[in-house]
Amino acid sequence: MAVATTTVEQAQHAEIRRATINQAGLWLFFLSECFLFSALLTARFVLAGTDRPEELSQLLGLAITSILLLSSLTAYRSEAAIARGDRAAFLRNLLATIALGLVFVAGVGFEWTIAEFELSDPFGTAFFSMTGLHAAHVVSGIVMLAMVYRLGARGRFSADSHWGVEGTIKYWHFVDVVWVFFYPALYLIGW
Amino acid sequence: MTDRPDESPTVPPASERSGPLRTGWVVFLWLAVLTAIEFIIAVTIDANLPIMIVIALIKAGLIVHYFMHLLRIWRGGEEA
Repeated sequence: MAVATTTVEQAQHAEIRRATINQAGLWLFFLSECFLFSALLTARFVLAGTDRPEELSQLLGLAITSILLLSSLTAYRSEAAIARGDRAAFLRNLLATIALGLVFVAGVGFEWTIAEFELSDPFGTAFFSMTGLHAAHVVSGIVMLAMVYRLGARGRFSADSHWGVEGTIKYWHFVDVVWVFFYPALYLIGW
Repeated sequence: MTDRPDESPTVPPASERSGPLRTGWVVFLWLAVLTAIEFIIAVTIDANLPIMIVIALIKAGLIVHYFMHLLRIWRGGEEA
């Protein structure tokens, strides 16, 4: 009896340890990404100072920022739904997150088509580099969310086992955090 | 934009679901308000770099703490 209890305790301990390692690994990845995005953020001010072209569409910038913030809410609701075993709400909110992400990417793409500054301009270099790398992260996030949706629709995740959902949605929130700093740096500072 | 009750018997009652959902909406509203504030400040004040940084840090802190559950690292994957 004592041996069985010890085995169960060891299994629980191993599970907690694995969850902790998963979390720590993901956060270390985020930290490494912070260095990359911080370098771009710094480069924006080194290259262009606090200058900002007047023709940059403020309404479009505010709109895509709002869409990304809203997608963080739906992503959060999706994770909360699977954590309580509500698969229908999990899939519904995940689909909304994917849709909002696609709208964000479309907004950035539209911004690129109407931008009147050149890639060779100091601000243009910073703008296209920052929005381009960020949009690449958004697209990769959408692909991962779509994979999670497909697996979720097949019943892969449950209230007790959903690390795949949690990790992917954490990544989505991280992309949102990056935009929290990019938005004022590109659109607001230098009004 | 509330979730409809699922017919699955595994879904807990609405009272147990309201906590995280309310947290999500409250955090989102704070993010929206802070975004509006930084937009208005940018329009009305010229030297706004320090204010923008402070507002961005607050917004990032809200997302990291409430949406990304940073404290779970030290709690072995439990609910933060």
